[in-house]
Amino acid sequence: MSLSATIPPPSRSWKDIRQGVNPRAMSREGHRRRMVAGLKFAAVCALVLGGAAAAIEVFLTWESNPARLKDPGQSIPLRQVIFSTDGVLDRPWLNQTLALSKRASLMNLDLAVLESRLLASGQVQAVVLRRRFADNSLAVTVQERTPVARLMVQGKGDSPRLRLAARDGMVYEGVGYEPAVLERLPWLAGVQLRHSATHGFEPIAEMERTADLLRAAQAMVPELFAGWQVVSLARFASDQEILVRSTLIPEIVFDVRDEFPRQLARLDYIVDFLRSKGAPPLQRIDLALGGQVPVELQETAPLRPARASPRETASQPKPRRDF
Amino acid sequence: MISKTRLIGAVEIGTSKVTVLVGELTRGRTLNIVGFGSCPARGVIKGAVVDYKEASACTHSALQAAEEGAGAPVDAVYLAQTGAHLEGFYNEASVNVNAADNCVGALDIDTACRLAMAKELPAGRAVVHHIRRPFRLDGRLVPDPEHLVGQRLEVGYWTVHGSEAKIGDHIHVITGFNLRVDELILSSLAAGTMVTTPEERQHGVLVLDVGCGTTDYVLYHDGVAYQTGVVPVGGDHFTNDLGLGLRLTRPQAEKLKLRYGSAMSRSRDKHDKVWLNGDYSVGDRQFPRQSIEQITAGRARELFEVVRAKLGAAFVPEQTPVGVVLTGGAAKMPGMDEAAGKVFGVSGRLGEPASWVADELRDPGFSTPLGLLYFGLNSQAERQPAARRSGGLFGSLKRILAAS
Repeated sequence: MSLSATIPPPSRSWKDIRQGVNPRAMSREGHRRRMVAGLKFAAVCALVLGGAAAAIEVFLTWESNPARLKDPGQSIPLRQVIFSTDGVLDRPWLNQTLALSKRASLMNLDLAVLESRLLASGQVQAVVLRRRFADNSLAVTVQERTPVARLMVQGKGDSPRLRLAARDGMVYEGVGYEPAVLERLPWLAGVQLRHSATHGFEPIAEMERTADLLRAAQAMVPELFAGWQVVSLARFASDQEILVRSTLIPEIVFDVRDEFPRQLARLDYIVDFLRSKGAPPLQRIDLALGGQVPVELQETAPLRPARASPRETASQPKPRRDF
Repeated sequence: MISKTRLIGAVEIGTSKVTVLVGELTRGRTLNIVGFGSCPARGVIKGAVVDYKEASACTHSALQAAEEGAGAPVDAVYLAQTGAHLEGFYNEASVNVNAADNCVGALDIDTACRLAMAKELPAGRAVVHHIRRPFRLDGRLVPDPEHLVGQRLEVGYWTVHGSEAKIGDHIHVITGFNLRVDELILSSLAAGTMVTTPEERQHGVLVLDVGCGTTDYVLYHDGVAYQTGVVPVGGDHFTNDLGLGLRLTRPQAEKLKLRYGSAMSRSRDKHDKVWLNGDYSVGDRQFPRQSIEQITAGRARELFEVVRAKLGAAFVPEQTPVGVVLTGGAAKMPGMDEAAGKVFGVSGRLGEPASWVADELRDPGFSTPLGLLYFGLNSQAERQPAARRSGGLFGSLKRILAAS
């Protein structure tokens, strides 16, 4: 038997005296203090229980539906959509494209999906979507493409449909443009479109250079440009040439490797020169031969509509002059 | 999380007044006195509560005043305990050192301490303090025997115990204010800690706390309290003696005591008389100063002789070089230090609190409540040196493993 086992238990200490007191033996101030202490205790208990309940709720939600925890603002309803654009798209188009439900909440919105919906139209070049918590609204800022040419697209068994081509080669269905604006755009020809998985058609690779020509013509020779009807890219890949058919000149050939302003300046000079000399109307100008610019004049009849094919025009006997 | 700052109320329920000091205890190391409350005592005779309602009312009034001064509610109370019901005894125990190399271990110390404290008390008694005296290892005094080499370890405890009912009455007065008593401290220990320095306690000093109804004493040797006790004689008895001897009412006798009382009879002129009131009012009369001094000096001498008799062989003048230090309200009577010195055969002086105590708290009447705070601050380590815990990383790991 160890020594410690033989040690008697310690004597009763003052600490063993019960410190509780009969409530009737308490003074008024004691009662007040007890009540305050009780209230404090109750408040702390409520706080602890509330915290515990919240923790359990969070845990259960985490177990059953973790996505809810990541979406703390789910209950905030979307009040309005603020739309701004640098183009012609309008609010009805936006509402139709976004297709938001009336009960959509701000935090529930999948901005990536909405962005892809907007970009799918092709007319939208860039878009910024922003949640505004101050007024529970969604801000949509759109940057649109500017059309440089128009073209008719016809699939198998489909009726022809008008499409627009932007500088970056994107082909899209133009929405909201004034008809007069579209009529001023030249037609695009000689292009083989390929279907794309995302935006309908693959972008036209040659459009950037073509847009340079059109912009330069619009700026330098606006009177001539007003008569441009068709811009053909049929010989762009093979001969590096752009063919333009206008009301004034049935065929103008531009060299894409040369500077367009220089070629346009020559064109303007030739047209002015021939007019001043009282020459017959022009049939064809080839600006793709460097210093040599072959010009074909119409012999007899006045200039035919531009729809006449270059091949037909070329078959007629034409006087040739070099400048 | 435990708050780093606690407001502790030091409460002394005395025979004449209830004093409360509120101390702000920061991190268990820093003490600031932030509140004070006092109230004339009622329902208390010779340190014992005889009328619970009256005692509660005045104590709660003092506590409320102290809390208002502190501007915050008190968290817990350190309560002074006095009264003739308090007694003490000495018990010692010895153990043979357990280790083969005779190196004293924590278990040896723990066993010796527990044996020395394990003495059964009569029914209805409760321990107030176990005051440990220095260890003896093979007869030599050592403050901490752990890791020292020896064969026999001895230790003794001075155990102070009191009537469970009377201690309970004191505690219930506090709990009636919806406060908890964290420490119950003997008045003499509280006052003694306050008016003496550790060096004085090391050399040997006797502290007398002469209150209104009781006189508490504590004898220090080797830095620890060797003996404590309470004599149910205090300032009230001086008043009572004057009333009986000069045929005066109690208030008149109290007035004469405060004005002309002296613990030493110095007046030799029988014709030297003093007025009772000094305002020529009806009933005002003269008394010989010599008579007053003889009565108070006789009672003072008797008081000191009773204390000396109770100390018995424990008090040896040669082992008490610092002498007698007096504190408490009645100790302010002129000549008390001289009278005490004569009776005990050593020098006597009035105790003064430490220099850090503010001027308004330097009165001997505040020694006990100040000491309560000071003693309470340091009591844990002093009382249980053997119940130490092994520190450091390994200590923590051991505790975790032991708990698992």
